Amino acid sequence: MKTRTIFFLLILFFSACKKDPPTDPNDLTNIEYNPSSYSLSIPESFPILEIPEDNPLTYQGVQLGRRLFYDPIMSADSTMSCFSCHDINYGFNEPLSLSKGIDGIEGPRSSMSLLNVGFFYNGLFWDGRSHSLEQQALEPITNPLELHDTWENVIVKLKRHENYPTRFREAFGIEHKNEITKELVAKALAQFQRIIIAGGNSKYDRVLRGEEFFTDSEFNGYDMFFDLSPDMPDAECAHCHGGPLFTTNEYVNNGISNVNSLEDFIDKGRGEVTGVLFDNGKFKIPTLRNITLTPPYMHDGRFATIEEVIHHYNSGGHYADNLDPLILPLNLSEQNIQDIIAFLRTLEDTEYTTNPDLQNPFE
Amino acid sequence: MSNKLKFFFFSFALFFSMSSCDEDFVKGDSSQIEIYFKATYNGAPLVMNDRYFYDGKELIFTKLQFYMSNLILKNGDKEVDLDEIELIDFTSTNTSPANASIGFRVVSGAIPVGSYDGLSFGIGVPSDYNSEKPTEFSSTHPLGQSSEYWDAWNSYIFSKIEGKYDEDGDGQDLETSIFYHIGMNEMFRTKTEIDLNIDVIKEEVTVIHVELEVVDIFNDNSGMIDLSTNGTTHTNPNSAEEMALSNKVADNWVNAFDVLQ
Repeated sequence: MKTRTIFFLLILFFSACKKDPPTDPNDLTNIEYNPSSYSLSIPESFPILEIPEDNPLTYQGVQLGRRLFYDPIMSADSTMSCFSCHDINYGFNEPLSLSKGIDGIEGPRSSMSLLNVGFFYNGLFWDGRSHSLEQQALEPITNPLELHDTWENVIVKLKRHENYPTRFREAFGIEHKNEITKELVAKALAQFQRIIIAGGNSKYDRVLRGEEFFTDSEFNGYDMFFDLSPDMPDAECAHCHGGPLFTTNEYVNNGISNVNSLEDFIDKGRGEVTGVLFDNGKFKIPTLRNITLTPPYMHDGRFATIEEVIHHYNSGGHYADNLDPLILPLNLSEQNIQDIIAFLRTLEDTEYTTNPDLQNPFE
Repeated sequence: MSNKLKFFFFSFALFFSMSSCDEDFVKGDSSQIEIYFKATYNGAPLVMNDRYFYDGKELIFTKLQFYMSNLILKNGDKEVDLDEIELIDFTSTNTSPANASIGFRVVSGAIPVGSYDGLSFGIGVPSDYNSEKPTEFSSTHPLGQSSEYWDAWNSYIFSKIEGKYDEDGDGQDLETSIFYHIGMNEMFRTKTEIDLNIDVIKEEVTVIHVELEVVDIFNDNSGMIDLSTNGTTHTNPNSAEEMALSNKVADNWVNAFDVLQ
């Protein structure tokens, strides 16, 4: 009896002294990692959506990217997010000529619409300095004229956040909060941006499918846009705005700047990236889908209306040695201009705004 | 025909053509061949955006490209397929005299050792491919760019020359645009060179240069094209004038090529 009691007490003593295994509060392995493929609907007439092998679209990744896109945690003073300059209600653009960051300082350029940005493979930004959405997403966080934060600070905020570590685990399978990196943030943002798809059910698309007809004015605009008949003026639009996305994704000097020499462009645009003098003053050709809904226009937002834009092209633009040869006086009448605008309005398609996966999750 | 099927068919044809060589080729022996396309202006490497003279007036070229298709080396009635389709874009290669003198490398691979006496290639997109659209190809495929397709005519743009011309001859601004956008099936042309003497020798790299003399695109037996009146066409099928000019330019492209050995 005595021996048994001592043995029992010893067991009790040792088991009582044994500490619980230490639980790391930053460990995420108890959270399930089972990402599901994101089902994306792409209009039949659109190009192939090329997705990097190391960043496949998953439901969890898209949802994480969506939260990051809309969350002001991404800025130094928690007042702005990507959404601030890429508002779903303005075609993922903003109605300002020049974008302002958290310090209220205007940047040199207007923000670009993100509609269909996943299909733009020939560089991103007005000057094409980023090669991929994953690369592009790294920049605005630290740009002093945009979100003006540091990646170190943003990562700390995300690690401390009550939800984000779980979401990074669910999206990318990280096992520890310390594995949250700027590259994963960029991947999530890229996944979200790839689902920003607009088009496929505009009047233009419905007409092409034989479901509807252009009005006379719209048809005349269509005719001039694509130079269908010799009876109408050739507006030369489709050279730069061809294809289902109405952009060739190239870089051109479209004659908006009046300069004496190629060195004189205030904003050198593509030339800043390539270092090639002849590229100075060239900027990316934007998509025209929803163009009538996304003023102002040009890289510096100098034109407030689409009418001003077409009047500019009708003039032939300002001469420079690198003025694109396809920018030339058009001799369009005022009626011709209105017809082209009528056609451009057939490219409006706001169905994307009803996509719940694109909407602000914090509202 | 689907792209996959085409790829399979072409691969099979390539394999068959390279492996079915008869006594003219030493069975199993193959050697490297490289083919370069070079653009020149009056014999000198053409550099994009540099000023040249045409009919006594200055002009520059801002874009110069064409679709090269079905590149074939011949030996009598035997053929070796080298490349099915390529967008030869001098705009990206001819950025300096040094780069322009190298040219655009379109093929580098092993072909059966032996003698070849002919070479041919298409200038444009063959009709089977021309019935498709850029959206059916990846962005890195030669046929995957919307900039190279003209929707209204359901055709790739087979060749593009763009530039600017000092029409008033004052030596200052190049105030007049020139652009020749050639497309649609009837504008497809084939360049065939015969009586060549190309020896592909075992363990030696054979290099072939195909030169495009751009002046010859503007200048044929009927004389020089007047750029002030015939400086632009995008092959509008509803315009007899544009179609005539495009046909002339398409013909001139063929004659502007020369194979150098």
